[in-house]
Amino acid sequence: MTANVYQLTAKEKRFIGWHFIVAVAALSIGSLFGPFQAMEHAGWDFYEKFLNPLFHSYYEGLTLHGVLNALIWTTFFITGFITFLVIYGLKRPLRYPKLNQLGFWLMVIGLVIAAVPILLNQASVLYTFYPPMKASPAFYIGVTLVVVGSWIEGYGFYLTYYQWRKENLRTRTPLITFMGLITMVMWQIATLGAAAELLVDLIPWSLGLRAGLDPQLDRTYFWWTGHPLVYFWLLPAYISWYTFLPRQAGGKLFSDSLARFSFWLFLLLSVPVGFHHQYVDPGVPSGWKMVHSLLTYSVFFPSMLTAFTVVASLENAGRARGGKGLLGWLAKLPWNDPSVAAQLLAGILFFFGGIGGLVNASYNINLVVHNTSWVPGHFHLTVSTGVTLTFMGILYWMVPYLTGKELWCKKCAVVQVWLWFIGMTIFSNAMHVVGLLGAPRRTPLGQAPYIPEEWAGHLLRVGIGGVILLISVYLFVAVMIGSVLTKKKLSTEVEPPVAESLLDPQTTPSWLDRWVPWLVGAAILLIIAYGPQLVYQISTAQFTSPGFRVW
Amino acid sequence: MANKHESMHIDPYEKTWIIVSLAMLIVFFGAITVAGLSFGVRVPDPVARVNPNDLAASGTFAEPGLKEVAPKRYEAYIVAQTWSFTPREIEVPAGSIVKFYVTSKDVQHGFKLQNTNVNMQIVPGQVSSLSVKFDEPGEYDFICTEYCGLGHAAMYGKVIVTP
Amino acid sequence: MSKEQLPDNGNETFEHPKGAAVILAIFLLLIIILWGSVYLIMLSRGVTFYG
Repeated sequence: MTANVYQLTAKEKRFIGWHFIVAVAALSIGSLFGPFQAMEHAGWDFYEKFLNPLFHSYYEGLTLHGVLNALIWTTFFITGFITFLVIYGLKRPLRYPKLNQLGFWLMVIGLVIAAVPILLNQASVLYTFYPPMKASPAFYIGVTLVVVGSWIEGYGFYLTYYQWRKENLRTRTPLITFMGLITMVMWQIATLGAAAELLVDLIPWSLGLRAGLDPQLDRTYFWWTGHPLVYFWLLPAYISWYTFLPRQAGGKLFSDSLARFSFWLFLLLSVPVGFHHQYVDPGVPSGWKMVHSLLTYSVFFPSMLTAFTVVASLENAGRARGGKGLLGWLAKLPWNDPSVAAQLLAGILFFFGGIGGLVNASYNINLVVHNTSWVPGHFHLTVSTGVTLTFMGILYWMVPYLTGKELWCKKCAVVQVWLWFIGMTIFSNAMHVVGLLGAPRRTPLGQAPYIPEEWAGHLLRVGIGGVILLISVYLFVAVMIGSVLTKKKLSTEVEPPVAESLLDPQTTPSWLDRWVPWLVGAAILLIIAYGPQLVYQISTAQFTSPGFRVW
Repeated sequence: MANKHESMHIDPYEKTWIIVSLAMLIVFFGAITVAGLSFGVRVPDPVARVNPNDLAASGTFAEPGLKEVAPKRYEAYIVAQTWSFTPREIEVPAGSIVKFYVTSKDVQHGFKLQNTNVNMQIVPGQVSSLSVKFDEPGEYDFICTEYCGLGHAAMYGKVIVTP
Repeated sequence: MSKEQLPDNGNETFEHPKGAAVILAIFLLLIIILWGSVYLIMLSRGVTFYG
């Protein structure tokens, strides 16, 4: 077990770093528009007064916000992060680095191709791009290239793993690599839906090669991808909470085997749940909605496992640091470390995001919240805090690791994560409440004629939360830029904080380290949950909808 | 294959947590099933298909509006298009049960009747349907809840319930 | 290796996570309260299906 530490080469570090640079750049532009939306709700409309004609409408801003933050920031961060998990976990270089570079550059090219029509107001269709709204073909082609690029990076990971496996028949796959690979496999199964929608329907249709589409069928394709997309964002955050955070906090991972088990459950159950976004769709029978509701409840279970393992690992850390009593260990956690504070605060808000998610998934309860501002309120706790704040926390140790230089203004970083926590608490709580009162999502409420007076206080809080988040996100960007530009070299290199397990991972049952049975299980579950409805919807499809440009 | 002794170690506290959280999920699922099957709080089911480009030929949507099918039982046929509902207003007496049928002429829309459980995605080519009983007189806005273009925020209508 | 009595082999000699249990119990209570209150809102907004 000695001398087995593979140090990433400067080239590998640079390659990973470029993923993060694109990710943070996307976040810094995309996040500008979120607060503009929030402030519009509070009655301060910047779109009409200042942003026109550079940015044409609220919806162009909202499209930028959704695409850059939810799709680009996440996908680039995650592929970069998994690259690290594969190389560092397997302690070997990528098998075919050129393949991964090809994937990365395809993603970059796709991003540029998609960004141009958005910025020209040719694709203000939001990040769900529901037909029959028709964007410029470049938008769909660009999005497709981003996805294909991420697939190619995935193939690079698989080939690297395959090579390692041949040489290490009896060793358990290192936990971080295992989890990273599951995330990528899940993503590749999940994106089949969007691939069908884009390649068969949207691209030919936007090029004029197909006259009409069936929007209901495309919704079904979209949500095949749309929900597991959430897990694609979330699993890397879970990876950090399971395998990095305990070590950063000074403890160990509570259970290696339960961590693996929960990831297998995520692989099985993340995808066949898309109809829970379509509970109020007219073209899906209620019985199938119920089936997906049950499966969504099932995928809540591994998150409950995660909650236990993560909190118990943190307790282990806090006690190792001298924490006493029932909860005294909480205060002993290293809250002054911005990376730890970010992840702890992300976890706290994610708790509430999980509760809201269970509400959304609950079949008829969805009637109360569907397409209300409750929904963005919810996913700003999950993807925008549980995930994004955790990713920020990861970058707070990862960037010094990659550059060999100090984190610039550590205090700023601590302030930043608290501002995020406070801003998001205010914003998200208000969004949930006003959603329950009936406020629609994706709507410039300042222009809406039907706003009751009782919403005003909540909409003001939406705006205030947005302003705080704006400050927080640019503080983050400043710390990132400062850390890249700083001249202060670290005296000792950062050691990636990979937590040991309380138990030797070799005692983890071998059935938790076999791919085929779980992949077969995932396929069977998908066929059961989607097969009959897909056959039905495709065979009865009416391709009657021409495209509309309504912005 | 067997390295040392393999086991899935589970702490007794964790075991309790697993059981309690599974029990909670089962109770919740039971509660929503009861609300759906026994109380009648249901989500939409497919009712009909139409050609969005030729709604006039689609019988019931040729003349959108309110139809009385029995005393205090109505059917409301509503067409959504950018950026309005037709009809914009309907009027029924308190105590009426109204079954809504809504479709779209162009892009997707939403139909949310405030302070009730009627909340539907409106998809061109499909007909969305849910019912509601109006016990209290007053005005109930129905608003578009899906982004449908620049005028989306102004797209709404109302049900006036007379005493 | 470490100062706690951590098992190498799966024997249950280490401390149970009491604090974690407390936090998760609070979490469970919050789920029940918050989920339950939206469930009640749903029931208060009436029926959508008349046979």
